[in-house]
Amino acid sequence: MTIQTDYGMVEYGPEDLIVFSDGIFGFPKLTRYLLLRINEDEDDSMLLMVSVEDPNVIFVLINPFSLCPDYSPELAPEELACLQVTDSGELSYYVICVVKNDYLDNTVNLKCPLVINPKTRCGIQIILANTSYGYGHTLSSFSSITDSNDARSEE
Amino acid sequence: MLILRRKKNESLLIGENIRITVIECASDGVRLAIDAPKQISILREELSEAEQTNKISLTPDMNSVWKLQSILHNKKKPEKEDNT
Repeated sequence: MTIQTDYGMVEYGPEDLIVFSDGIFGFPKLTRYLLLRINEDEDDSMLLMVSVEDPNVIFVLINPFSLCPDYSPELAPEELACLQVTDSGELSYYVICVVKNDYLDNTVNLKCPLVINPKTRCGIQIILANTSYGYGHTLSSFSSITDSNDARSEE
Repeated sequence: MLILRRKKNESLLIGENIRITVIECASDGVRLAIDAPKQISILREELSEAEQTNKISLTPDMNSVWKLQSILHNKKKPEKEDNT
């Protein structure tokens, strides 16, 4: 199967899909998504999530641990059960990024991660009760971003 | 902004057809019963914020995405001078 996106034609099989059976917040009817690398040789810390049901629906996902190594999302028992795991360590986490022109203005939603079981390829979006995580953390607030870029400019 | 105190089993009336009743008060939260017409949307505030945040994240400009990716890529390999 293929879908045409603004970023090119993508071929996929059913085994490539991630299924959010309840959709994600604000998009309850879109349940099937592809996770795409932005460049082939890059790792998975940043991905595009494209709806195969509406290819205009595209999100940028970031691995939250690459920004915030001590990110600790806590899932409720019913959320773990929904994903068919007993240990939250078995799950993959991504956060949705609002991308702006100035990269330091980009924000990530640490409060509502996408949580995926990599074996079943099923996922849910949850709202964390932990009050230290918000809906829009700017990239400039993460020292892992600003420190390394300061170092780079000294080279 | 109106601030009121209600005890267990007491209610608030909003407009002509919305009633909110305190069912239980506990240290970890308050249980509320909301009686309202079906066409009125009732959401936990954080759900509404979550929806709103997803909506503003939609379909970004690809040039900005590539720029962001190159920043994150450089973050991983700071000793590399060539970032293409």
